[in-house]
Amino acid sequence: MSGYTLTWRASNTAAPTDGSTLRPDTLGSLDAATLAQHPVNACASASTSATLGDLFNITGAPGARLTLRNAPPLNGLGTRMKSGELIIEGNAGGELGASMAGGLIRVTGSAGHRAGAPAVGSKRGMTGGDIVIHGNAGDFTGMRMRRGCIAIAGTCGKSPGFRMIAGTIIVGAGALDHPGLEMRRGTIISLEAGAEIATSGRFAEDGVFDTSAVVVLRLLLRRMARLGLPVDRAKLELGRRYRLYSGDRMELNKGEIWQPTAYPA
Amino acid sequence: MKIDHVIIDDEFAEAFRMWAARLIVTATDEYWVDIAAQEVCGYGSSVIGCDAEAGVERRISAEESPDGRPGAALMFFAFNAKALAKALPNRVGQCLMTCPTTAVYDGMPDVTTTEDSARIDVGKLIRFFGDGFQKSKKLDGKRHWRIPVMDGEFLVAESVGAIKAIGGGNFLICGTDQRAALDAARRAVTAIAQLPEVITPFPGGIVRSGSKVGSRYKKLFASSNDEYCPTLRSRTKSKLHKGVGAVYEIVINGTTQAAIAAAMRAGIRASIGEGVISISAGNYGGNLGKFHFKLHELLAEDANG
Repeated sequence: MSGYTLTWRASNTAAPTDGSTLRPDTLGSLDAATLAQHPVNACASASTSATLGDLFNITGAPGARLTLRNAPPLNGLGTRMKSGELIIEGNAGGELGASMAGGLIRVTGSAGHRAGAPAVGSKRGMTGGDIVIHGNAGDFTGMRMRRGCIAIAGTCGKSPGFRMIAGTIIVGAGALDHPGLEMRRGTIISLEAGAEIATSGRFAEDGVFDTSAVVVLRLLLRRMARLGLPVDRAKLELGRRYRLYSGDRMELNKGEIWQPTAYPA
Repeated sequence: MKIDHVIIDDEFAEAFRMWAARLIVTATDEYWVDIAAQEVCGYGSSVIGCDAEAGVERRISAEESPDGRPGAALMFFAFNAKALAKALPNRVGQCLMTCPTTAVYDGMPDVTTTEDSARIDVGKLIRFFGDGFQKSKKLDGKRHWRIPVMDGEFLVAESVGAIKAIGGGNFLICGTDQRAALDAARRAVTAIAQLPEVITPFPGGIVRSGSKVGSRYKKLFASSNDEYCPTLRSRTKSKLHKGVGAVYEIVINGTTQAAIAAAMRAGIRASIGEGVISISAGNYGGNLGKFHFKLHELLAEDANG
């Protein structure tokens, strides 16, 4: 897939706080000269906003993929994007993919808080597309998400899936601290057998199941392999058994949290 | 024309416009794939009396299948999209949802609604069996319904694609006796089973009671094909060559003329052997079905010098 690569200029002294206009579906069709003139919002220590050409070396050509290289963790990257691929080589700030509707965001490092959450002015978080985070994610990942998938190879912070409406969150490692708090529907999958899942009694355990009994788990695991989620291959094995927790019992009680039991010998 | 010693009659098969859909069915192992296929394709030989004509197009390995379990591609043919829309949810609900461990996927996922194609609701209708406990998951633009059942969940595609297709490609294997003709017919069906985009919907792929249009009985629109019945040789305008003691018909439905032609060629070639006297084909004079498969054209390259 072709597209532009924006490489952060090492000489930059100021970093913008708001990267929300950096979307492959809007920027990818621009010619290089127009792209360079594109304003970047709210530069942290400048009185006026800078342009992409001021902050980045721009290479490549129009296309559906936009790559950010070596940039500081900008907030709001991929906000409301509808298609294309946003590749962040490095870390992303907060509100990654806020209210995105489609396409793929891949972060080779970690992401801040509220990935996939509502953008300013929106009631709903992401409604489609995929966010794949190779490192860790912050608090409230997938907050109020409506559809789509967030996959994290590492750990995530507090309350993934807070007030989740639907969609899928997959966490590769570590404990889950109050996952799915006030979720209505949706699926949260921990890939880490034995990690603590603290639900404060809002979820009830329904038992342990083969993936052949709940085939959607197989589809999701295979999809993670296709998306290149960088976890241990064993974590994406289809032959594992998963424990189901249903809740939030204080809400619609149609959400689910899945966690594998120990891998069969 | 002859292929080896076998006479190829100068006949043509007359086939008709039908609509086709494909389901991919997976299960926990091959045994349950077989059971599921048997059940859902049962009572699916002919739209003369069944709601659809059904058969296994091919087996699917675990590696190739959508969920990493073994499966099969099953095809269903009916007169039109409306008939398929009635038959499919019934068959899936009664025969696949009931079968242990199955999941059902759309076998034509790229098909959209046009003049020549349609989307048929399947999971969208069956989901209500979940009585409010059903869930769905939309992946890559396709919605899968998850219906809670006693062995876990039944996963079924919300809808499946259907396209204009062709039904009724055929050829008749005329042998010295029942054993010889049947062996030849089985060879033919085995060869056809290797090919994509086609099914042979009759029992074992073979018809013993080939029919003709019309009957002396007003209420019947089809009746025994007396011209090919060996016990009626002296009492009807028989088309049987000397020495023919039994005839079997292979009926082939497929997505395209090319697919059916390839299947007829492969099937006829495989049927050639000891005890086979002639190959013919069934038609209605050419005025009913718009797809004609002329045996001499199909087999020109195989014919004896």
